[in-house]
Amino acid sequence: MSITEKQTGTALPALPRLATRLPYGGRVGKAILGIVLPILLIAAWQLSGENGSLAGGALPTPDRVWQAWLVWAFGTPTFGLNPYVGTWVDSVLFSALRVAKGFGLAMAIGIPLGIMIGWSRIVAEVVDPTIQWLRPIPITAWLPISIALFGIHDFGAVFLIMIGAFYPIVINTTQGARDVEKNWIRAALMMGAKPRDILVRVVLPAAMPAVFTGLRIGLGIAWTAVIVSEMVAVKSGLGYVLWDAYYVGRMDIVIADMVSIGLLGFLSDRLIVAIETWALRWRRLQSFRT
Amino acid sequence: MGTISFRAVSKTYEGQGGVRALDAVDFDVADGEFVALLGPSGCGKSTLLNILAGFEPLTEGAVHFDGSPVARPGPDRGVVFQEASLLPWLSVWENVVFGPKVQRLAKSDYEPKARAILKTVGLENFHNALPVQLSGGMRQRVGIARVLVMEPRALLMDEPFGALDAQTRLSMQQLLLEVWQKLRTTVVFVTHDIDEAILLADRVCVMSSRPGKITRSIPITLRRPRSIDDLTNPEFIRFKAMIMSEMRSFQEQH
Amino acid sequence: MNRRTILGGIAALCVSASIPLQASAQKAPLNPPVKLTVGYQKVGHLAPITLVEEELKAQGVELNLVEFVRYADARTALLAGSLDVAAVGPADLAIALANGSTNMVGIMGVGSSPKYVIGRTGTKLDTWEDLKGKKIAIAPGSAVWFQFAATLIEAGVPYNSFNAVNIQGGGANFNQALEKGEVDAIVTWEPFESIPVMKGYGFFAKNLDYSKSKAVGAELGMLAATKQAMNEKRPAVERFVSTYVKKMKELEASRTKFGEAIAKLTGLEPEVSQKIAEVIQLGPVITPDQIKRQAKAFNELGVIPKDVSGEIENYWDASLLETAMKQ
Repeated sequence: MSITEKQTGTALPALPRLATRLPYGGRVGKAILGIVLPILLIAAWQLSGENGSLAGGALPTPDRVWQAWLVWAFGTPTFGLNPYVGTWVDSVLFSALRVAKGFGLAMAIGIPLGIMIGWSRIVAEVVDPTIQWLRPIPITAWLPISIALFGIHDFGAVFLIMIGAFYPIVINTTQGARDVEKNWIRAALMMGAKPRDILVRVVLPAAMPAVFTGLRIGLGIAWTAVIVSEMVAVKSGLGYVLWDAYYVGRMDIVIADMVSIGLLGFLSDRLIVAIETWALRWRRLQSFRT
Repeated sequence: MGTISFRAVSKTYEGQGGVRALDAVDFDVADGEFVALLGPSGCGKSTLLNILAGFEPLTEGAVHFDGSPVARPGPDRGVVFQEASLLPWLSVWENVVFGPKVQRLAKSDYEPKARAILKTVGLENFHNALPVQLSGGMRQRVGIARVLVMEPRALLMDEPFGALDAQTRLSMQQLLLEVWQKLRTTVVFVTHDIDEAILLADRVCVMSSRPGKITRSIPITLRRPRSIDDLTNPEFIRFKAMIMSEMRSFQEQH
Repeated sequence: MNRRTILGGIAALCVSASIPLQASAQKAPLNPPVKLTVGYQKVGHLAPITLVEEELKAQGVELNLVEFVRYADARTALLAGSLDVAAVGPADLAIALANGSTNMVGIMGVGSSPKYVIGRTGTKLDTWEDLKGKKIAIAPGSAVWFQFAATLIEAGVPYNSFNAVNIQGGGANFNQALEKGEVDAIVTWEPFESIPVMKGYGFFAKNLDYSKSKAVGAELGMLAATKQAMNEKRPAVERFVSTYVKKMKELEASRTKFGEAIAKLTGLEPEVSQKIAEVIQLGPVITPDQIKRQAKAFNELGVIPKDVSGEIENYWDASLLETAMKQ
C-alpha cells in the first residue's frame, strides 16, 4: 500500500512572488513616486536659468535640451554640416552594438574564467593575482594602449567596453562558484558525476544568482565605458556625439546625450532583471510548506 | 553484494589539540542488512557515514565495500542527506534522472524505472514541480527516489527524517519500510531517534562520543514486515528500554 | 628773447620731460598686484606665452597659467568664469554667442600659417578633385575643421565627395592612422603636420591650402577675456596684452628664438620646433569682419545654431591690441 500525498491535493502551489508590495497604488503608485524627484529637479533647473541659459551661458535650460533632442531624433537631415538632425537612432544603435559586443565578450571570457577560479585552487593561484592587479587600472588609462593596438578600428571601443564589464562579471562569478552548497556537490559525486559534469551541471547553475549580479553591474559599467571608448578614433555613437557636440559648444546636445545614455543603461538593466527573474525562478525566497 | 567492513578506523580533525571523531572503530554490515547507527550529536556517526560514502578520508584504518577499499563517492553507495539537498534548479523528474543521465545510461533503461519509483514514493503527479514548491517531506521523497533509481548496492542515510515534523516523519518511516521490504538492499541509517532506529533496523549500533566508538551492537528481532503500528508493540518497548538504559549508563560514565 | 619764446621753451621742456614720465606711468607696477588667470594650450602659435611671466610680475600682474588640451575646454572654463583670459579657437566667439553665452570678449588673433592637407607618401593630391573617394582623417569641431569645411564649400567641392574619417582626440592618432595606411590624408594641426613629413610617410599637398577661405581665413587662434575681467581687471589685462604683443614681436624677428620658444612650450624636439617656427607667421590676422563672415557661414551650414554675426561688434574690444601695437 503506497501512500499518496492526500493533504496537498492535486493543485500545485504557484511559484511565490518575490517582490514586497506597497500598501497603496500598486504599480502605478510606484511609478508616480519615482517621477516626483526628477520633475522637481528639472523644474528647479528650468527656473534657475535666464534667457535659456545658466552658468554664464555655459549650460542650457531644459526646454532647450528638449528642443535639441526633438530635432536630433526626428528632424529630416538637410544639406548642411549639422550632424544632430535625425541621427539620434543611428547614434543609439552604434553605441548599443558596441556595448553588446563588448559585454558579450566580457561574458564569454568572464563567466568560464570565474567558474574555473572559484572551482580550482591551482587556477585561482595562477590567474587571480593578475586579475586583481589589473583591476584597479581605470578604463580611461587603457585608452592609449587601445589606440596603439587597434588604431581607428571599431574594435578599440569594443575592447575598452569589454574591460569595463569584465571585472564585476569574473569576480561575482568566482564568488558564486566558491559558495556552492557542499552537499549539492556531494550529491552529484554520489550520483556518479565526474569533475567536468560537476562544473557544468552543478557549479555553473548554482553560481547563476551571483553571475547575474555580476552581469548587472558589468552592464552598467559597459554603458559608462561608452563615453570613454568613443572619445577617440571612432566616428559614431553616443559617446562620440558627446565630445563632438562639446567641441562646437552644443551643450544642449551634450545633455540630451547624457540623458540618452542613462536611459539606455536603465532599459538594458531592466532587460537583464527580466531575464534573471525568468532564469532563477527556482530560487524564490518564500518557499511553500504544507 | 553490499557488504561493509570498517577495521580500526580512526578519524582525527585538525584543530586545537585535534578532535578525535572516531577512535579505532570496527564495524561490519552483511549483505542486505539494515543497520542503524544510534547516538547523540557529535558521536561521530555522521563521520562514519561520510567516510563510507567517500566524502571524507579516514586518518587510520581501512574501510572496504564489497571487498574493495572505499576510494571515492559513487552510485554503488547512494546517499540520502538530512536536508534532501536536491538541485534546486531542476524539477523533480530532472533531479531523479540526474544520476543515470550523468552516467550516460540509456534513456530506455532509466526512464521507466524513474517513473515507477516516483509512483512508489507517491509523487507521480509532481514530475514538473520545482523543489521550492514542495514540502520537506516531499523533497525527501525525491531524495530517496533519486538514489533508488540508480539501484545502489547500499543505501547510506544520514538522519534523513531529522528535519521533518513528527507526522511526516511517521509517514516517511512507513514508506521506507515498504520500499525496503521489496528491495532488501544493505542500509546504514544514522539517527539520534531511538524509536526510529528500533523500528527500521535489523541491528542497532549504539555509539558514544569523545572519542567516537561503537559501544554495543543490539540485534532487533522484531518480525518483518514491520509497520508504524509496531511502535506500541510490547516487544518494541522492551528493546527501547534496553537501549535507553544502555545509552544512559554510558552517559553516566562520562 | 621775448616772453613768448621763453614760455614756448618752458612748455617744450615740460612736454619733453613728461614723455618719459608718461611712458613709465604705463609701466608703473599695479599696487596691490593683481592675479590674472590665463588658460592656454601647448601649441606653437602661443609660444610668446612662455616669455611673459617675469615681465608681468614686475608690472604687478601675477600670472596664473592654466594648461588645457583643447580649445573647447579653455572656452568652457572661460565662459564659466574660472579664467580671466584664455587662448581659444577663432570660431569660439561665434560658438559661445550662438549657444547663449554673453561672457566672452574677443581681443586679438595670435598667428597664421598656410594649412596644407598632409597626404600619405605616394598618394596623388594635386587638386581638390583628387580628394574624391579618398579617406581623409579630420577632427570635427576643431579649428582646422572650420577652415577645411569653408575652403571646400568655397571651392565647390561637396563635403561628401570624400570619405571623412572623423577621429576625435589628439593628433597622435592621425599620424598613426596615416602611417598604417588606414587613411589617405589628414587635416590636422602642428606638430602633427610636420612630424609625418619629417619621418617620411607624409608630404605637404602644396596645392591644397585650406587657409585661404573668405569665411574663415588663416587665423590659428584667438585671445579672449571675460566681461568681468574686462570690467574689474582691465589694467591687468592691458598689461598682459601689451607684454604678449611685445614678446610676439621679438619672436617674429628671430626664427631661431621662435623655434626655441616653441620647444620650451611644447616639449617637442628642436628639429620639429624649428620647422614649425618656419611655417607659422606670428601676428593676428583675424578681424571682427572675418568673425562675422564665419558666424554667418557656419550658421547657414547648421553647425552654429544661431546667426550671431550682428552681435560680434558688441563682444570685441580692439583697443587693447591697438595700444599694445603702439609700444
